Amino acid sequence: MSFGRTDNAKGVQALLMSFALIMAAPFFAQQAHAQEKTVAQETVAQKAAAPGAKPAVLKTESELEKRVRAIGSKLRCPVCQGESIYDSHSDVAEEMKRLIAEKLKAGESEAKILDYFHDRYGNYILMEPPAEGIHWVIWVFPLFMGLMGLVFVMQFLLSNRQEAATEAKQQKKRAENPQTLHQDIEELHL
Amino acid sequence: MTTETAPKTIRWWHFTLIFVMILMFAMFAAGLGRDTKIIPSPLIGKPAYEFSIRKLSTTDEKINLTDYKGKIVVMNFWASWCVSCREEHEVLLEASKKYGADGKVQFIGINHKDNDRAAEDFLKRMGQFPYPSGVDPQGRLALEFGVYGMPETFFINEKGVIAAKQIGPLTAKSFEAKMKAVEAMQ
Repeated sequence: MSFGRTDNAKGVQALLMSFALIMAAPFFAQQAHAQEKTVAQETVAQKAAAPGAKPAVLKTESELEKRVRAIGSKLRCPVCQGESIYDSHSDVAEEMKRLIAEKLKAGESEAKILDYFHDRYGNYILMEPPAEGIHWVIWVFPLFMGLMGLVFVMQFLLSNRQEAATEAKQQKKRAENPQTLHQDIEELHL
Repeated sequence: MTTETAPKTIRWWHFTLIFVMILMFAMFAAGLGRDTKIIPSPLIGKPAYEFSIRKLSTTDEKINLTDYKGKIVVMNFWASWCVSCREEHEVLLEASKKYGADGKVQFIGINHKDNDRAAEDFLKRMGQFPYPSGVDPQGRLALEFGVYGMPETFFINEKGVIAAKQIGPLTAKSFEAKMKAVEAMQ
């Protein structure tokens, strides 16, 4: 099987490239979302910390709330669709957040609290499943597809450049020796 | 006009990507066949949390799981506001009559995030359980048992080990199947 530079091959190449980019999209979206969140948090913190700044309208997050948010963002709400308990306002999520706060006040570490929920709900409760067993595919696949997408974009651009260079070379050759053009036409007729 | 073929590296990338595509589609296809209601519980095969909770419609009477050691315990989480609990109510009444008669199987109800009056009204309307119910007003016991939603039922063997779990309403068929799982674990 060989893919020549025909229209079909280009179509297949474009299709594969689109597939690679689509599959890698969640990875980039996640990165962008995380960055957005960090920027938003920093902006609020900067506004609150700026000398002479007006008092913040938003209630300042206490250290305990920060820790509850950090843990709550890592746990999936059991009755919601793909939402962390930090983002959810369901009864279960609220109760889970209260329990996390109580455990933190009692001096339990983040790892111990996450283990508490993991022991009872399994991997399902974790927003980011551990990279072990079959789960490693979820972690490696978007990176792999992102790389594949980049390789395809580079291949595509390089092949176009090579084609243009070859075409220019042949045109130059024909211009220098018009006989070549006649030979090409004769070959085609044969 | 160009007639040259693509470099070999392009073909390798194509094949790799096609292979990965097939692998991913096979994984998705395998996932589509799974019943999404079946969520494996890490608690199966582990000792049940030994709780002590207030008995429904009392002020200080307690229900302690340890009191039922040596018996198979069927522990059902229910609530008056839960629509699916109405579906399984008849199944629980029948099963408790059938299995609870000889005293080898103990049924316990856990009234979840409810209030006594609403729970009592529910039981009056739907039929009184011939077994006690404890209350879990905040849902903390539900978290201890990794409960997702109402109703859920745990099957605990004589040694106090969780042998099976039903997520969602019980049917006569699913109840029998879970009891077989308890027997198989003996």
